[in-house]
Parts: sequence; C-alpha cells; structure tokens
Amino acid sequence: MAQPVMTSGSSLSLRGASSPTKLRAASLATAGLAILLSVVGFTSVGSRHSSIDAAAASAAQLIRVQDVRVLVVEADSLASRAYLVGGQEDPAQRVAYDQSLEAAASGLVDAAAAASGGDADLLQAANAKLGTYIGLVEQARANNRQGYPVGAAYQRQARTINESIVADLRSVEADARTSVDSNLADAHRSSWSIVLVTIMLVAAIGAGGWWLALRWRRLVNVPLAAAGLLVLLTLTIGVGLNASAMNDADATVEGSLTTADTLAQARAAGFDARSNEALTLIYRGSGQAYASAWQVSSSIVGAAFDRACGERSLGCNASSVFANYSDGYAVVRALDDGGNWDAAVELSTTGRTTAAEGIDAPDPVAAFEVFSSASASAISGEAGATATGFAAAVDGLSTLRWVIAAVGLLVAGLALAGYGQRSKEYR
Amino acid sequence: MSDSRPTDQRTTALRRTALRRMLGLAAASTLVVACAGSTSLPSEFTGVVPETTPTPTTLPPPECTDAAGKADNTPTYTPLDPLPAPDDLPSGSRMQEIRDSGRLVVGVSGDTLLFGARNPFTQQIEGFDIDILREVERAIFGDTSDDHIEFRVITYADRLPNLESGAVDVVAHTMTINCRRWLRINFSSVYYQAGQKVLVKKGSGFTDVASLDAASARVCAPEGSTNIDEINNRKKYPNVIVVGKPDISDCLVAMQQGLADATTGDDTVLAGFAVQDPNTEVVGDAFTEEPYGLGFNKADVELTQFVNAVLAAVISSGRWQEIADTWLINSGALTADAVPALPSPVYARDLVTGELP
Repeated sequence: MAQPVMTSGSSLSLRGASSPTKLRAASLATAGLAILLSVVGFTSVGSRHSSIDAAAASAAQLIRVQDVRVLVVEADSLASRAYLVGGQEDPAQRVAYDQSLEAAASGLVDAAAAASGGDADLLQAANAKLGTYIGLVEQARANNRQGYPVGAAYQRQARTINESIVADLRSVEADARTSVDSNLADAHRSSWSIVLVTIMLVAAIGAGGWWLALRWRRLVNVPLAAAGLLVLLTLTIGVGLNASAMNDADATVEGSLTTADTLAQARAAGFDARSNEALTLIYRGSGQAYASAWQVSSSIVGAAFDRACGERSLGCNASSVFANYSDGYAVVRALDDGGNWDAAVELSTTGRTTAAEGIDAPDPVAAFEVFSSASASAISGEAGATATGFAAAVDGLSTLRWVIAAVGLLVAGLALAGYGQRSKEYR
Repeated sequence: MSDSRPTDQRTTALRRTALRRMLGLAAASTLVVACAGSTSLPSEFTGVVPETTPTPTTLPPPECTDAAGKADNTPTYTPLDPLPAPDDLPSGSRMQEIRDSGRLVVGVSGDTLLFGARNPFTQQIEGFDIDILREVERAIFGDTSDDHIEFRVITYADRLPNLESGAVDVVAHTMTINCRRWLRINFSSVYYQAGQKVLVKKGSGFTDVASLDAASARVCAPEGSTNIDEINNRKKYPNVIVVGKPDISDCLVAMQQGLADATTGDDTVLAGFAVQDPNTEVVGDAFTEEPYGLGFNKADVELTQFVNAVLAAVISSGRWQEIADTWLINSGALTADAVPALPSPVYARDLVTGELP
C-alpha cells in the first residue's frame, strides 16, 4: 500500500497515492469534518442561545432601571408639589410619594443584584443617595410646615440629589442598551464558524460522492448520499430555526423593547416636567432654569411619543393628553410671569383659577393625571412582550444544538461506511 | 448494498449540475443567516434646549475709586417737599404713571425670613422690606386694601438688572447701598442699618468672628457675595476655613448637617436663621456696615425723591418703629436695644448729575 507523500512545506499530497489510501484519507477527512460540525454546531448554537439570553437579561435590566427612574422622578414631582402647598398636602399624594420611593428602593436592590462591575456600584450608590434624598425632603417638609424658608434650601438639595440619582440610572441604562446591542451582534456573528464547517462538509461529501461515482462507476454511494441529505436537511432546519431565532430577537428589540424604552423615557420626562413646573413656582423669580428644564423635558416627551405612536401606534393618547397638560402649564407660567403667583400656584396645584377669574385655563392637574395613567397603560404590556419575545427567540435552539451534535456524529459514521464500501473492494 | 453504474454522459452532467446547485443553496442559506445585520436600540432622547436670548454685550460698569468706595455712600436725593398726596401726584411723574397703571411692581426676596419671605400658610410674602413697600404703596394709591403691589421674587444677582431693564419699579431686597451700585441705580435714604455678623451654634463657645478665626473654624458664606470676600480677607482672618455655598440658606443647612461651624452674613438674614433654628444664635458686633436702601432705576430721580419723603414720614410718624417691633422684636429675633438706630439721612446728590458735591 502506497503511503501519502510529503511535499515541501506542511502540505500533504495524495497525488500518486493508491486508491485505498485515497479512500481512507477521504473517509477520515469527511468524518473529521462531520465531527467538527458536531462540536462547532453544538458550541455555535449554544453561543447564539447564550448571546440572546444575555441580550434578554440586559433588556430586562434596562426596563427594570427605567422603572426605578420613573419612580424616582415621580416621587420628586410629588415632593415638589407638596412643598408648594406646605401643610395642605394631599394625603393621597403623600401615600403615592411613599409608595413610589418604596418601590424605587426595592427596584434598586433588584437592579443592583442583577448588575455587575461599575453598574452595580452605581446602583448601590444610587440606593444610598435615595436614603439621603428622603432625609432631605423630610427636612424640607418639616421646615416648610413651620413656615421656615430654609426648607427651600433642603428642597433644592434634595432636587440635586434626585438629579444625581437619575444621572446614575441613566448611565446604567446606557450600559444596558449597549449590552443589548453587543449581545445581539454577537448572536448574529456566532453563525460564522458553523457556516464555514457546514460548507466544507457539504463540499467534502459532494466532492467525495462525485469522485466515487466517477472512479468506481457507481451512480450513488448510499451512505454518503444519506449523509449529504442529512446534512442538507439539518442545514435547512437549522437555518430556519436560526433565522427564526434572530428574527424574533431583532423584532423584539425593534418592537416591544424599543417601545418600552421610548415610553419609559417619555414618562420620566413627563414627571420631570411636572416637577420643574412646581420648582418654577417654589423659587419664584429665580425659577428660569427650571422653566428651561421643563422645555427640555417636554421636547423629550414629544419626540418619544411621536416615535412610539408612529412606529407602534402606542402612546398616541398619552401624547395628546400631555399636550393638554402643556396648555395648562403655559397658563401657569403666564400667570406667574404676569405677577399673579397666587393664581399660578392655585392652578398648578388644584387645577382651578379662582384667583384669576375670567381666564379660560385648561386643568393641568387633571390633564397630567390622565397623562400618567395613559402612559402607564401604554407601557404596561411592553416589558412582558419583550421577555416573551426573547424567550420565543431561543425556543428550539437548545434542541437544535443537540440535534446538530448528533447529526454530525451520524454523518461521520455514514461517511466512514460509505467510503468503507469501496475500500472493501481492495481487501 | 449494490451500486448502480452510470449509463451515459448526460446523467453525469445532470449529477454535476444538481451537486453545484445543492452546494450553492446550502452556502447561500447559511450565509444569509450568518451575515444578517444586527438591529440596535435607538439612542436615548436628549431633548431640545430652548434658545435663550443672548445677553447684549455691554461695557463693564465704571469702577469706583478706592476713596469713593470707602466714603459714605448713603447720601441721596432731596425728598420731595411737601410729600404730594396720592390724589395730587405730579402730572407726568413716574408716581402718577404707576398710579394710573394700578400696579407697583416690586422686586423682593422670597426666602429672607423677617425681611422678605413667603408665608407658606397664607402664601403671602411678608417681612420688614414688604411693610416698607406697603408704605410706598399707600403713598401712591392712598390705601393698601386693594393690593396694588405686584411682587417679583428675584435673586440677589437679579436686583440691579431688573431695575436697569425697568422690569420692576422698586427693589426692596436687603440691598446694601454702596458706590458701585450707585453707578447703576438710585438708592433711597437708609431704611435699615445692617452689618455683617456671625451665626453660631448655641453653646459652641464662639463669641465673635475673632474666636472663630482663633479656632480655625469652618465659616460658611454664599459664593460671590461681599460677605465671603470679607471673611476671605487673610490679613484679618488668617485661620478661618471658608465654606462657600450657592446661597446663604444653604449655609444654615450646612450648619445643621455639621458641615460648617458658623455662617456669616448680614445680621438681618442671620436673625431670620436664628428664628428658624433655635439652636443657633447671632454673636459679636457687626464687623461691616451694611446700610439698606430701596433701589430705583437710574432715571427715576423724582420717584427716588418721592420715596425719600415717604421714608422720612414713616420714620417721623413712628411707623418705622412699629414695623421694627413687628418683625424684629416681637418675633424674638432681636431685643429692643439691639435694633440698630437709623443714621440721620443725608440729602446731597445733584438732581441732574447724581454726583456728590
């Protein structure tokens, strides 16, 4: 039996080798590729599964942290309005404030547990700041109820702390967005190795079958043909499942996750605007910075709802309701800028304008409450839809990785059997 | 298992074609999956910052000479004599203009307890400054029952710009009369003689600014204020650790949070702090003089003269003392003998040039 001939370099040449040697080499090469497909398929599909799972976890973290941000901003909005009315705080608002902070604290703990590295540190720091914020608001409240203007200084400090918490949360959100994108990109990239190996295997089986047919005058080598068909069948199913998985993942990101992200930003900006409205009145005469901040928040609400309404037909109602609130806010500002601070406060806190009779002012209080519930309603299903979407994306991938592993081994066996039939002729 | 033999070249060609197509399809399918572009989340909304009207570039105000800065800057314009009655205001005067508009627009503080602060129970702005303004209102409109005053709560920094732009008619905002301000606005005669003091915690052992300096204590003052300039004078107070805060009320917060040992500022403001925090007290003598005056637009010389006449009447009638009793003594902020006496007004400014002789 002739042995393979080593040529220059590391290449291996079978030119001039005997047929049994060539058969054995082809058999081993094909079986090797099939086993490689088994291994690479198992790890590659597993890697895609893991990447989609990681994207889902980042998406969940994004939604979780945004929930906390909305709660923190909502609490500050309630605290600012409570300061404005001093001792006449609405008990229901106080309960809502307490509930928002309790939920925010709980959410921060959950988010910190799900985070790692710098994000975990930021979230733990945010939780500590939340405690400081609560203390400052209580000091502001206590001083305000006694008629002491120093309460405004505490309220201002509380606002600064609140803004710091929001900045921390936005940083974590940005990281979560980046993580979703990079994990999704990884999921897309994880196909390359299996693609390469599959092409090589199909080519090897095809070329081998062709070679056998020509060399040994056989129309079909059944084991090899079965191996080829099996690979093609697996390839078809695999491609279908992988395409479906990536389509589901992409659709989830483009759909429910983007909408959840967009609507959460709109809600946070809406509450921030409401808070700034109160602050313009608390720091009467010095509130221009808060009026400017209101404009920024309002523009975010507008842009976010435009996107959600345009792309998913969600939040359209909340958008128009926020416009109603904005009309009311405009009257509040006009009253205050015109020197009628009492009427501005009355309209801002009660929705009525008895101090400015004759003014046809929209009720900003009622409009904002409708906005709050409408935006909450619009966002409510998106978090669940996101989780469901990612779960659907990975559905089947676990089975697929085992199937590919098994098919690879089976194809290896069939390749050995197919070439073995011709090898027997030389014994 | 038996193999079939090929029968002709056509069969071979068909096999070759089928094999190529099969390989091509497999490669294309897998490549489609592998190469499909990844979607990504949109960036966070950043919002649109509203455009602001650019502040017109103006030449820096002329500076006072050292001598002028140190000189007595309280002399003002001669009061109108006699003080015209509300229904007999000079035709075409600013006073008549204000009366005709029905509104006296005033710039005040909203958080200086005892002088100008919002009462959270009544939502009204009240204090010493406000009561002085009520007397001006009474002199123009005849009474105060219809509330002809339109309050604009403004910051310290906004006091002069609001007068210069004409946004307000009068500013009563614990404003010290000094040479640099006279270059931009007019001042009434002195309506309160304040001075810079220190607020400390009761029982701290600190008795004045010197004791704070000796102990290298942390003294808080608002950034950018004349108060912080004074305490930052290393020749006078070499050891004091200065704590700067955006607003003087933040200094009281800093003391309550243990971040400062004392606060320095006008005794009027500190008296309000002591009322708000009974654990603190104002100690020592004033180490600067801060004579307060009402501010007016530079062009409103006649209005300044009118208000000077009003103030003279308020003082001579005993109304000034009533106001002081209400806000400074009855509130417990000061004892009767601690209320500083008003200096005798000096009316010496040239009505045309505004210069002192």
